[in-house]
Amino acid sequence: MRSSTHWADAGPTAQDCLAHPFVTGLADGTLPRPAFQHYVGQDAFFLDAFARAYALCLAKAPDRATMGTFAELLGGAMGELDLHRAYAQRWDVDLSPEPTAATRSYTDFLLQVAALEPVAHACAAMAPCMRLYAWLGQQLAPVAAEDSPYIEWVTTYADPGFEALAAQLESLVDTLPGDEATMARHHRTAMDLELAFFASAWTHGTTS
Amino acid sequence: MTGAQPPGGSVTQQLIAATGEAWTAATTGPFLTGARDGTLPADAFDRWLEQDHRFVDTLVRAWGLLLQTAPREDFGLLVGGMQAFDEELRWFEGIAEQRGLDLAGPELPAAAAYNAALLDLARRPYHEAIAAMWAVEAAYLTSWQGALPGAPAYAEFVTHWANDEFAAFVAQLGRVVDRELPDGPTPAAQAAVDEVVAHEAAFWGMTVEG
Repeated sequence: MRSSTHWADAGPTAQDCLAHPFVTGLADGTLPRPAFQHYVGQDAFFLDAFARAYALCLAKAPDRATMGTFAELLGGAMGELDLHRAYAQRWDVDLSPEPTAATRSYTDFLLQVAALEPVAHACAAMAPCMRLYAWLGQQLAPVAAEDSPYIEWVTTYADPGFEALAAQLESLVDTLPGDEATMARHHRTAMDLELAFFASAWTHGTTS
Repeated sequence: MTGAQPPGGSVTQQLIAATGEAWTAATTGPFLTGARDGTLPADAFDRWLEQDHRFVDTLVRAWGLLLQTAPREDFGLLVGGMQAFDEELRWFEGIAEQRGLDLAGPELPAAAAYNAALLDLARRPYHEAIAAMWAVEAAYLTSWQGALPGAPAYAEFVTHWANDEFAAFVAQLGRVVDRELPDGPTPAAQAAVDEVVAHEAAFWGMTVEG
C-alpha cells in the first residue's frame, strides 16, 4: 500500500519530530508558554489552509464516495479549529497572526498541490499532517505527564477518532489514481515541513 | 429581524425585490403547482429528481470552491452546508432505489447550463459568490414553501424541502450576504443573483410543459 510505504520512508523524520524539544516539552510540560502560544496561532493559520485544501479536493473529487470522505475530513478539521479557539481563550493566543516563513512554506505547498494537481497528489501531501499527529499522540499518551499543561494536545491526537480520520485520508492515498513518484515526493516534502514547523515554533517561542 | 435595516429592507430583501417578475418565475409555475395539487405527472417528477440529484452533486463542489475565498468565521456554516448537501445526496440515492431512477443518466440542457453557472459563480469574489449561493437556497425554499402541504403523492418531498431547519439555514446565509454587502447590493452581486434566478426558472420548467 502506498500510504504504508510513504510512512515507512518517513520513519527517520517522524523520529526527529518525536525527539524534538518542542514535542517532548508538550509531553512533559516543560515547553515554554510563549512557544505553545506561537504554535497555536501558526497552527490556526495552517488549519485554515488545510481546510481550504480539503475543500478544493472535494470540488475535484472523482466520485461520490470520495466527495463524502472529504466532507467528513473537513468536519474533522473544523473540530480542530474549534479546539484552537478554546486554546486561544485559555492561553491568550492571537489566532490570526502573520504566518512565519515555515508556516507559509507549508500552506503554499498544500494549496498549490490541491489547486493544480490530481486529488491523489493532494492526499499524499496532506497525509503527514494527519498520520504524524496521530502517531505522535499515540506515542506520547502513555508517557506524557498527567499534569502537563499541554496534556489536552496529546489526548486530542491520541484519540481513536483522530486515528480514524487519518486512516480515511490514507485510504484515498491508497486508492485514487496518481503518479507514484510525485506522491512519494509530496509526502516527504510535507514531513520535512512538519519538522520545520515544530522547529520554527520552538525557535520563536524560546528566543523572542 | 434587526431594528437597523435600511429603508429598502435588508440587502437580501433588496436583491430579491430587484429581480422583479423573475423571482416569481423562479419560485412558482406548473411544476410546483402540480406538486401541490397532484397534477404533476410522476414521470416528470422522476426526470426532475434525476437532474436535481446532479445539481446537488455540483452544488457541493461549488461550495468547496466557495470555501477558497470565505473568511474563517464562515467556515462552520459553509462546511455544515456541504455536509448537509452530502447527506442530501445519500437521501437521493435511497429515493432513486425506491423509484427506479437513473442517477447516472445524461444532464438535460437546462441542468447542464445551471451546473456550469454554479461552478462559475462560486469562483467569483466572495460577496458575489455568497449572494449567488444564498439565492439558490432562498429560491428553492420559497418554491417548496409555496407547494405546501403537497398532494399526497408529493407531500413527503415537499415537506422534506420546506422545513424549519432549512429555513434557518437560508436565514443564516442571508445574514452573511447582509454582512458582506454593508452598502447594499452591488451591480455584480445583483447580476449574480439575477443569473441564479433565471436558471431556477428554467430548471423548474425542464420536465413539464407550461
